[in-house]
Amino acid sequence: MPPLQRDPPILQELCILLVNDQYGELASKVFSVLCRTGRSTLAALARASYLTGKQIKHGLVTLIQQHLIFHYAADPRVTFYEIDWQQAYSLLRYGRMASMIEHRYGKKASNILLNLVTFGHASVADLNNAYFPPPDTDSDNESEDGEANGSTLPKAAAYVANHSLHSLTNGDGPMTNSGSKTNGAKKENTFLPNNNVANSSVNNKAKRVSDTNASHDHEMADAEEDENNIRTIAELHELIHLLMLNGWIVRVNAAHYLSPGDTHEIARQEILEEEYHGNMPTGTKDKDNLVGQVARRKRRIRDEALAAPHCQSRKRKREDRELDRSSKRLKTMGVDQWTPRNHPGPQDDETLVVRVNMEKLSVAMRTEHLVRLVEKRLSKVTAKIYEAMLWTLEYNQPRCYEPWPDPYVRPDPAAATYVDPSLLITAKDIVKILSRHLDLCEGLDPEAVLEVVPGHRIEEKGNIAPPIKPFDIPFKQRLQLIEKHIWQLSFDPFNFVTWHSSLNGKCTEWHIEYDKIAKTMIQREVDNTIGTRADKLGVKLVRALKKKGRLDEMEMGEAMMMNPNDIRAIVSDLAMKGFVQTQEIPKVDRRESKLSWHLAWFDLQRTREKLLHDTYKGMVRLMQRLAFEKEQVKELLAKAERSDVVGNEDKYLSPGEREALKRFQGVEEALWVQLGREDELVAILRDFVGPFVSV
Amino acid sequence: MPPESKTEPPPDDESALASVGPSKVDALYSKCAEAPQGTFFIQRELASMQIAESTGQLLALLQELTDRHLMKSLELHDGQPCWVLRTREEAEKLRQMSADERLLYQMIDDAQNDGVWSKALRARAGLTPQRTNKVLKALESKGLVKAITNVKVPNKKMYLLKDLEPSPEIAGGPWQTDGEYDLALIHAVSNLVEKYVREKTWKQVPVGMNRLPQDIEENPRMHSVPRNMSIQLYPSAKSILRYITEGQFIKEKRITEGYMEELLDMMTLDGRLEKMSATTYRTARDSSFGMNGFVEAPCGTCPVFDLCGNEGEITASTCAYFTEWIDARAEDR
Ligand code: SF4
Repeated sequence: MPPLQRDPPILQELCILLVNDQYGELASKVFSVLCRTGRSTLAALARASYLTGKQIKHGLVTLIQQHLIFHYAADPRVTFYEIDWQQAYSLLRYGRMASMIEHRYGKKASNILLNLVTFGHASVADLNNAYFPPPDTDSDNESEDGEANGSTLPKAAAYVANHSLHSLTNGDGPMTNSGSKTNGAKKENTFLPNNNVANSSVNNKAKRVSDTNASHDHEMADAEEDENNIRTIAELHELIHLLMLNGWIVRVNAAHYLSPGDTHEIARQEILEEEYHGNMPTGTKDKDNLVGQVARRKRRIRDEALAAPHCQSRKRKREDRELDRSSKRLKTMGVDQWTPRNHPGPQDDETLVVRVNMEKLSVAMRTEHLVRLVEKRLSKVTAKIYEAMLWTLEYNQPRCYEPWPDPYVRPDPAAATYVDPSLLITAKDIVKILSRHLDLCEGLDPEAVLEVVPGHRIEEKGNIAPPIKPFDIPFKQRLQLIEKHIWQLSFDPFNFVTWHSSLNGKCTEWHIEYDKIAKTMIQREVDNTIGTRADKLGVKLVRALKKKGRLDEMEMGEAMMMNPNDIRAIVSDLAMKGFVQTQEIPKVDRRESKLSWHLAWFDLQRTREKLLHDTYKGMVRLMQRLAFEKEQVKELLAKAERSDVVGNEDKYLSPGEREALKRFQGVEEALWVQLGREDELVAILRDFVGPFVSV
Repeated sequence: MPPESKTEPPPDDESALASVGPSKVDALYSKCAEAPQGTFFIQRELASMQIAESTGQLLALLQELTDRHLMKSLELHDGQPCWVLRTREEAEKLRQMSADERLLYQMIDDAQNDGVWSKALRARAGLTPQRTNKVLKALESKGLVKAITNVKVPNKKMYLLKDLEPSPEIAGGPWQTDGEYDLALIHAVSNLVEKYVREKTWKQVPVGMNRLPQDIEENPRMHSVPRNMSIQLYPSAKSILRYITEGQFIKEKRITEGYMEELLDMMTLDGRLEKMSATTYRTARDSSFGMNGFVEAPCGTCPVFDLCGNEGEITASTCAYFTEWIDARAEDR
């Protein structure tokens, strides 16, 4: 190693820690060698490390199975390996993904996801076996079956994980063995707190919203508890199909193993062959064309790889969509109806290999953030309505933004107002999926309510009398009330929705300008960060600079209505923390501070990258602290995990040990929760709007 | 161009006086004094007073008054000459001035509420800096002129007639006093504005306003809902200004729509107001800053964040902030 090697970029560091945490030392060693070398062949990897070729190979198998690296063999004799940063980072998100799916489609569906995640990718047959082990396996498969389904989900996942890792890394060096043995269990430990928290926040939210509902929903939910087990293979397949239709899981395709660079190269070569007889075009216009053609080809390669088989069913009518978290509804209005019985589903092909699609999670995370924002800025019921709109639109959104857009051309005015019809939405589209017990009057000006529902009055205290029973509001009035909420969403300076058209006799159509909102969200996080790291005036200054561009002290003073002398300190504090850029321009040919203009400006993209970088670094520190805390209680943990101790803690552990164990679990949970919170920030900063920033 | 004011007329020339007679001079002066102080008179107006018998005589009278510093001649923005009366005390003071004093005074007077920069005075009068300063001091002590600070260029001293308000250009409008932002005033007015806009844009209703009456307690928990109106009807600089003026909240200063807009812009930067349309505003429902995952964690606000490394003196394992943070979390649970 060269003596003065710089610290690896921070994202690499974070991913190495994550891989180490999930897949053990060998995998993370290979991973970190690949970090260092970049795109390389097996031979190059061997040269760059002290690992044996065999060790590297086994590490690579795990990493490939988990889609943490790309591989590509342009020449069949040489395969290049390259890290998939997005996927590696996503290790952090599996728990979140499961809870999002649970929120949308119920426990059974999230259960499938967790199983799939432990596999990396899996064939339908593998999943069949995980849920319904063939009768000729171990004698205890009865209980395994129950667990795969039940609420002791981690164990089921652990079972699957052990199973898959076992088959991959069977019988290798000591390192591998110990790695694979503990992996499954460890994995679940680490995800558990994360997952729990995600779940509980989801539950809280559900509770908050249902506060306004009658208790009816709760009773329904209780009754459903028992129904959380997948009972038949057909049901399993239907759920897989549901997740595929909505883009949460996708068929594994060769293109998934291509790195962005390779995809680009392949697309470019293809276009050059097909359109330009293998020669590089020379004219400017042709060159521009080429850029667009390559982008289009890349999209095609990707979209073909992502397309759910069984394409004709993808264009179902919107109203059929399953959006309710209650699995009761999933049953009554969902699955059975939209998988035509006479049509064999793709999942009936047991050789079909599927994996999770992390891009879809970004869409769901965006939804969640937006809903939370509306809750803060407007009201809970308005947020609930917005959530329904967003969920409905999610169906047609495989990702948050197009990383390979057509080159920019000035839109002609007619086209500028065009919105993809699949991204338009009306109150009618969501009225069916909102609970009829949701009190649509809440969160509106009572006067607005009475405009829609006459025959009531507003009392002195501000309440509506007699109360309007949510369940009894006629359909048309429900629509109107929903529209009142939607108008509020559009009035808000965040422009949560944008008006599209109100054709005569039709419902008002809306669309959502995600990119614009995403930028506002980034700005908001920058504000929050500055507000905490500096103060209110710092935020004000940044806003002033954002609005007006490059300003000198005088102009800053004018915008903030403050005396320039008081501003100087704020500017230098923010500049030191890297939030604003400054420049000194001498007015005379001497360089003297007093005789210079002091300019400052704010660059959102730059600040966004810096904040993302800092956040990664914060996460690395959390992981490092976790490792440190673990190290402190290493022996105790080993003891507590011994098979004779598990379940008999009271007998084998002293009160002091139990106390220490409890403390450690608390620390572990706090650190993972915080990692999850930082991950939410990463999503806002990185995943909702391009250009993708790699730090 | 009224040449009279620019070129110093010979003060002792009695001939003009002789030709028109002193009574007419006084009569014209008294007639003009009936109008409010500071009125601009154009020639047609003065002629209609029917004191002078001819235009020639009128001009002679005006010249006489000007010479005696009882009037000053100016130019309207369209180039038309006009005259303004001076008080007798003022004229008296002027008469007693030295030539240099009078010269500078007139230059300052000409500038009106734009003021003149002391350096410009010196250059135009061709005096030494010492002399200029001395003369200006003398004028100041006689209570004729005052020095003010230009908000744009704080180290430039500007001179202005004693009883003129500096133009907003130099004084910075109602929000500034002596070139400094009047923070107390801004604070007071912005609070008024915020309160007004909040009331106009949000309505306090009980949480669960649509429940059975018995569910609504004596003192129900309230929350804000947006008022039922279109965004064009939200408060604007105009309507907010009307509220402030009609409420007579500010006595000393006159606020114009433009200055109100300036304040509203500033409050938008504060996050206290939110822009709803090109001209209308509402208050933020909750203008507090949130936290985020980064700043909640110890590293997010750590003073040695940039020095902290994977190894070395400052690391996550040796870090005291982390220990503190973990202990605090443990206590919360
Ligand atoms: S680990 Fe400790 S010292 Fe390092 S950045 Fe975080 S809080 Fe600061």
